[in-house]
Amino acid sequence: MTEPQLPSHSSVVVIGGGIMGCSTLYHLAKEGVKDAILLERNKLTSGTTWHSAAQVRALRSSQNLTDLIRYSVSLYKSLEEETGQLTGWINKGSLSIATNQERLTFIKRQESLAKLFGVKAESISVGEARERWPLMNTEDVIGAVWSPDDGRVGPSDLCAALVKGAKSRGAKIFEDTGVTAILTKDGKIYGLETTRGDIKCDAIALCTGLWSQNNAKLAQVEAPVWACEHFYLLTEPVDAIQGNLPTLSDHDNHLYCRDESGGLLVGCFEPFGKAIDPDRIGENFEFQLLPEDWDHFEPMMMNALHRLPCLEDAGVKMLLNGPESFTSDGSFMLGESAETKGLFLGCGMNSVGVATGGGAGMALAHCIIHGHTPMDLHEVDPKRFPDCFNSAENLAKRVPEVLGEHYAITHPGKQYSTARNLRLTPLHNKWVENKAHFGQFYGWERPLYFNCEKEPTLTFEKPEWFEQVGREVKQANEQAAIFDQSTFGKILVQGTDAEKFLNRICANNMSKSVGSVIYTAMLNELGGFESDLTSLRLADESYRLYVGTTAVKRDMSWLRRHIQTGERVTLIDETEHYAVIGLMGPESSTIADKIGATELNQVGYFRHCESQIAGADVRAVRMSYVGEAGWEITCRAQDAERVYDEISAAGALPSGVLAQSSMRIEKGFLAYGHDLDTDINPLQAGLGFAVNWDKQFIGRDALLKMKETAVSSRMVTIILEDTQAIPLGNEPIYLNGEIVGKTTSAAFGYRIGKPVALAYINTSISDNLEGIQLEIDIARTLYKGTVLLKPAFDPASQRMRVKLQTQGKNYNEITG
Amino acid sequence: MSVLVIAEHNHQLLNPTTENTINAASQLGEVTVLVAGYNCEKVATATANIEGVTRVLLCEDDRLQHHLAETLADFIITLASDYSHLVATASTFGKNLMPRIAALLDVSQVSDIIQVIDENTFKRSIYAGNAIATVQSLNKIKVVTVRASAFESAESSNQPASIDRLKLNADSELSQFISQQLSTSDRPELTSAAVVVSGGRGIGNKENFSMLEELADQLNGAVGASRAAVDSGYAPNDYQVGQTGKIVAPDLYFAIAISGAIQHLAGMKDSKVIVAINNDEEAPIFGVADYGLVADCLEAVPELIKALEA
Amino acid sequence: MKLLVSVKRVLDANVSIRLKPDLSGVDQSNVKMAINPFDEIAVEEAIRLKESGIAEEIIAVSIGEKKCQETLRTALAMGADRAIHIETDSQLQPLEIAKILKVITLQEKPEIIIMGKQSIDSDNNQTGQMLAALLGWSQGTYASKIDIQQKQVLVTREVDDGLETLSLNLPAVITTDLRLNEPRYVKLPNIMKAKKKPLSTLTAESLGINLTTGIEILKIEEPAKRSAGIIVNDVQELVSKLKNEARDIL
Repeated sequence: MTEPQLPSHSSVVVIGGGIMGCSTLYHLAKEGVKDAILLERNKLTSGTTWHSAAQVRALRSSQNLTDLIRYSVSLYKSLEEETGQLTGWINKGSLSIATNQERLTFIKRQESLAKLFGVKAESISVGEARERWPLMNTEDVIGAVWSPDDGRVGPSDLCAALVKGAKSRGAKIFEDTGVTAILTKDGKIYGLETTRGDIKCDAIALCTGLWSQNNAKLAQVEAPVWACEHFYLLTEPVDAIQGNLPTLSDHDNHLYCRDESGGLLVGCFEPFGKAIDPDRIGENFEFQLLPEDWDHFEPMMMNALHRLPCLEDAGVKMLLNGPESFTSDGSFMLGESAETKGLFLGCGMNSVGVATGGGAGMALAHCIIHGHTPMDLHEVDPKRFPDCFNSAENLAKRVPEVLGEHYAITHPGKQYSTARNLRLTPLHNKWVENKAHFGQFYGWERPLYFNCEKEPTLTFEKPEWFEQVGREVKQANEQAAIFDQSTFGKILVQGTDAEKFLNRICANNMSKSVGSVIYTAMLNELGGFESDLTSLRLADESYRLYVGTTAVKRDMSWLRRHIQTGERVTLIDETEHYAVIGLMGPESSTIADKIGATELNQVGYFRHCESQIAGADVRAVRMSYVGEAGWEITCRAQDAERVYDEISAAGALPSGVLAQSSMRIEKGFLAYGHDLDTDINPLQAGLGFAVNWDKQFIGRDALLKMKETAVSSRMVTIILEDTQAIPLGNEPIYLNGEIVGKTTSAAFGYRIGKPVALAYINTSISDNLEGIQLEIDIARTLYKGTVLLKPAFDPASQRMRVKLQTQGKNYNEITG
Repeated sequence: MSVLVIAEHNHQLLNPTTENTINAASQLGEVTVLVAGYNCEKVATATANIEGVTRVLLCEDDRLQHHLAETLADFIITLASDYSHLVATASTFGKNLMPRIAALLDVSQVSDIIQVIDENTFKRSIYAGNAIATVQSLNKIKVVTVRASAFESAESSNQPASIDRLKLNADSELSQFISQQLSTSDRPELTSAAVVVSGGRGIGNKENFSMLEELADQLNGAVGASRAAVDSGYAPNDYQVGQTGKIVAPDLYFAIAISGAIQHLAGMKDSKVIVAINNDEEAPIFGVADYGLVADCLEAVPELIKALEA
Repeated sequence: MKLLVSVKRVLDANVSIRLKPDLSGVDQSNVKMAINPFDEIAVEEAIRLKESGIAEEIIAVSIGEKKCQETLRTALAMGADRAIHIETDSQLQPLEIAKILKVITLQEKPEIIIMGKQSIDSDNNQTGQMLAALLGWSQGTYASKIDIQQKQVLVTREVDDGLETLSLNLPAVITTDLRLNEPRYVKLPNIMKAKKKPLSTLTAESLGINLTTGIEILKIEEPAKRSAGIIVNDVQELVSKLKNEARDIL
């Protein structure tokens, strides 16, 4: 039929007509963007959405991601009334089963989490599970959790409803319209070219699913998305199936099962998937499927036959193989790109597209219109990916494992095994010599702990590394330990306006003298944490910012965006130029003397100085993330091994990330992504001391308002009585049967001899929180704990701040 | 180049599609037509009067009553050496017969051509009409079947061709005719009708199909059906239009309550004018229709019949 | 009775085809493939004959590249007893296929050969008839019903005018039409069992047949596109359009 004309201008163009594109368009239109349009190069849903199994399970790893799905559920229900188009929403709940103890602990942890997030979930007996799913073989099932609010939708119907709702508000859709170029100027979107004409626009939402990497490149943006084959079996009708069934999640066997058209649908996330290059799938992959692969599916088929004996007699209609998109870490992308202003990404859904789509489209539309997501969504920030995952090679290696991890138990210490050794710190060889067990953070290999003889078996019980980490903590606590902090982002901020600029961006006073070290937040307009960092003033017009390992792309982006026209400020990412070596412990001052770095013993707390170690120039900051006396020593990457050898010869021994983590939790030092995010402000976090109220900074007004009223929740330390308890963070906290807070970080505190957790709790429970007895729910068992308003270990920080004296002896005398 | 066309007939009347085939054949060379049957002299006479036919061969024998492929093939290969091309319509008759002849002659066959490029080169549709292959026959004798709807019908000639009688010199006893169930209809033949009215599963039931027959009669057209309608029992199998049913290209094709699956489109997308009536505006048929009406066919068709009466 | 069923691996019927830019053919990479639907009907019919006790052994044959074995496994999973894969990467025409099948037929000596009337990719509708000719056997094409008697088989055929029933002497070649049966869905245990059933491979070149085809494919291109049509609002408008713009026809 004759097609309507493409407009010459549109405020926002959505590219891609799958669930993400349709939902984003719907929400843009709903929020008043009257001229929003969607361009789909083939037909709506013809990529991945149309063949999605469309499961909607509410519980995710965080409150906000869970809330996105809950929003989706209520939207999918209400869309029918609003548009007259059914979405096919079927609410029959989901049943998670466990066949081993670790899984049982995990689903119970999930149950605790559900209660924390306000999602209905209950442990039920095996017998009750069988009643809910009579066709299931339960002989090896040891436990189950029932989530009544889960369900599924019809993906094509859902998109039809979203599109109807969008069109009724003025939005327009253009199928068979491919985008051939994206136009940018000075790093900002201003239009695009299509197969049917050009359009000027202010923003683009890229919702192109597994094809997003290529499409993003049109705008000079990196979107590390790859594709994997995804299989599910469809059978002809089975007599025993009457009506709809709940979804059965048999994750130990990598399966999800439900009814479909009177028969069974059995899908899998097998332990190691099959990656497929989006270029090989091609652009004309419209309502297409990939070849069946019975050989690959066979192990899953055996699992399915074991769990559902009735499958033996059910005729198989087809083994559907449809490609889905995956990212390097299993979470999707939602937000503005780092590289190009106005280019927003909503893709890489890792098989939760239909479930999350309603909420994600809402969040993306909000982000486009208001400049930020409606709530903290740092887990899905497109700026979280290290550049090493832009490579097709690394993505192709990683995504089969990501697919396999979809149903894996998220044990503490879990690490990917593929695509490793992408970035090595300058001291990597030393860690290998010390038999480090490595973890990957932002592409970097970091030593988790040392003296590891074999790959540890992961568990929710006491971990295999427990004693070793304890030894490493002891090393720092009683002697001297070396920590590799080279993965910190290092950003050089220079220029005549550097101080003015930083004062505007940072909450703390950046005007302190050269030689000062400043810990500060970067806040958003609402007063929430965009980042926390440590700044060294190197010179009047020169600052070096140390940011978290995973924060550098995000923080660079934030800083860059906030440079005003004409402001004389330059930013340089120096992360790879420098190593950062932490030397901490009561013996560290002796070592500093021994190696002739006497300046270290002279520099005051929270100040920095220059010195030399093993003939290499170093800069040392007198501070400690672990609460022991010592320094974070920065040197050039190529000098790191010399410096290490010198310190190590003088008696310091390596300690890993897990030891560091345990110690910082004992000290109540907060970590972004765990204890801090954009929904948290400094007042809640107890970091009001790092705010300088006497100047204008981003977020000041919002914070001032909040200061007037007491904070509703605040950060505390909780020490658990039971030394066998293993808190991990993200656990609900109960007082008299009510949930009053949640843990954010936790570890065994070796220096205090008890498990310790950092937590946010409601301030309304008492005027004086100090000493209150609460209970932490770990896998549905309650553990008693006591609230402290100060850190668990060395609350006065005497150890960190101790005035260091040189021994007065020189190195030769000591060695004699 | 000399072409032998195998006429399709029912001993009384020449099947009109043979005229289209004769037209196609005349692009290849001098056309001789074989009329093989029983008491079918009338057919031979009619054939002799078609433009492009230089000679008619008439073979009458009661063993040819049912046009059994085994017998016919054995007979035709005895004539084959005189010709460069052996051609028939790509009907169930021609499709059943010609490959047997080709194999006996140890040559390949080009099936269901839609265009003649030269005496060796032809175009044909593959993948349900989603691709067009240009193929060249390398054999000395070319065996070809013709998609009648892709060629114009032949004119009548003012110089009738000669008719030569032949004796049947073959009798394969491999198969015997038992019975038949033919649709009797006064309507034009589906594959040669100028107007076709086709119904899909959306028609709902067999009774409603009569509404389509009424429309067809009004326009002097034939009635067709989608596979789904035939499978549901609304229409007999010989009404089926589609990739594996009949391929038609009338001047006017009505697709009533037909969604427009690829396999159906393969059978009718070369129609001159396509009209689609369907109550689902997203139905793929609207992608090929010249005129589309989104409406309930049970209301629209009676209305259409009324409007055309006026 | 021994039955031979020939099966072809083709693009799945629901796949939209993509042509190679050099017009040399259809792009088959990463595309869902399936057993030719008409061959599937043939396999189903063979299985039913076995289940009713008429046939004892069903042999499935496929000719083509290595992946044809997947199609043979489908036939085995449906119930065929063993499979023969004639491996070749050459593009063959029905005549060569028929010649290969003739060699196999002379080896295996089936009494009935059943195959689909045409494959949905090449749409040739020739192989069964050619094979029957080469063997000197009777042929029953477009079968919608098969009834095996003592020394004959009654085949009801779907023809242009309706239905026709023939009696074929055995041995015979029968090609299937759509309404012969509805193929069963395979069960998972049978898919596993299929892996254990015998599947032998021969190369086409080893059969001593001339595989040079008499057809050369010069190019494969897209069909001409129809120009877009319009939506009319009601019957009146439709009639008016037809009378004005398509008046020759009316």
